[in-house]
Amino acid sequence: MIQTLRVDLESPVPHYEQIRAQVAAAVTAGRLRAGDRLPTVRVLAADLGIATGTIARAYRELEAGGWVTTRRRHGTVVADREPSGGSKVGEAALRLVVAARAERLSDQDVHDLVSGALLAHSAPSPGRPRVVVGSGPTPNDPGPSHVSARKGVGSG
Amino acid sequence: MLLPNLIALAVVVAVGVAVLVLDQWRTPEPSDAARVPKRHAAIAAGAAWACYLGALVVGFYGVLFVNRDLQSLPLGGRTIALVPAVAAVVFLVVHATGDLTWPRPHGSVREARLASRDADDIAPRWLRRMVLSSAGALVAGMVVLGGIAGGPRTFLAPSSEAVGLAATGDFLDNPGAPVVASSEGLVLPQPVFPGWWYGVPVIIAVLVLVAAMEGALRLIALRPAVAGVPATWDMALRRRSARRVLRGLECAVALTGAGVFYRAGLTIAQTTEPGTSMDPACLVVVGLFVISAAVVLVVPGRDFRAARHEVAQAAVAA
Repeated sequence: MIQTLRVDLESPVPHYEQIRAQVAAAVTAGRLRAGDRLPTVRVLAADLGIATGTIARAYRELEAGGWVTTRRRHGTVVADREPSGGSKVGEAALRLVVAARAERLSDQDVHDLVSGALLAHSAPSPGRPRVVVGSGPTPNDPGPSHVSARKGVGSG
Repeated sequence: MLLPNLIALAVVVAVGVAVLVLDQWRTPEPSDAARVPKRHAAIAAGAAWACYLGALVVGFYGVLFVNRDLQSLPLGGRTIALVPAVAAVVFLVVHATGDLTWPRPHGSVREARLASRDADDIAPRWLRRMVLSSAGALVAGMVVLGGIAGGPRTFLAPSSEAVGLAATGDFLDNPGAPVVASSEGLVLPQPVFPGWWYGVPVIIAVLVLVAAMEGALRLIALRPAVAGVPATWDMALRRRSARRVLRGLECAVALTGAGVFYRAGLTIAQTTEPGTSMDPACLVVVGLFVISAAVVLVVPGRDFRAARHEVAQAAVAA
């Protein structure tokens, strides 16, 4: 099954972040498997009609997160990685989605629930900082630091 | 003089229109979104084939007749040998223009498939191998002919019989070539032979064509995907474009190879076995080149078979 990527140009979420999030989600859901080749930066940029730099940044972010690896001869391929947080969290996420479907919650509602839960437990992570897109500032996590945290990630 | 030109022009236009009509007729339309790219591809293909044929006609006709009449430029057999390659380059340029002006994605929501594609995915493997084999055979053949030629333009090495050099313009195909004295005391030019004088530019032209072919295939793979159609339809359209590029190049390589070996066969027969009209080995090579061109032109491409099946199923489901 070919995974389709969708980018909303009018969304406040940066284009590279939309691409990164969808590829990561596809890998997590098993629709992209380890060793699957992703399209080249130029092919994806041509298909989406956006700048090659945007795609390159999304791929750099994915590579920094361990989702993909880039090799000279093979291009960008999905990496063989353990799900972050281990299988327990993965199972919990699956149970959350099943419960949300049973309650007929929309995807956006689920995202909002998870965003809220993340903000409520915003303990500093030992890994790289991650920003929840669309969330507002909290007493523990004021807005401007979000931006600086994001800019510090994989912008090379 | 006017009538042949008009006939040639009519044939060129007819070929372009025929490609257009045939393309429109045999390509399924899974959705309205497919109409514009389908028409774009058909126009590019029609224009490319018309320009290809036009360049061949202008090239051969210009060198053989107009130049012979005017004798203004030192054009001869070497130029004729390069006409198919030049026509193929014109064909590729027109085709590439179609790919570079391919309809861009529009709308605020864009979609793309997360599947890699490159020239290997879109080019029919047997056809690509055939073009590369023909190109390799032509290069090898030119090296062999260059090796057996006594001089860069002649089959026989200039000997004591050579009494001078043909003045430029005296012998269209062989200015500066040795002339020999016949038994009747007449001074005749040695027959033209495709040695290195012809071989080097032909080899360079073949290498340029192969490089241009790879570039054209990459452009086809890189052009934006058609949104709102099944992935198989988009790939089928790419495969058809790639097939056209490979067919055009095979024709150019085969035409050059057949012409060169035909000329070589005539000269070898004339100089080694008077009375025979054609060297048998060269005749076989000519036949192989002609058959290879005929095969790639005649074997139909069934690129849309899967896509047509999907469209029919979708129509039934609807």
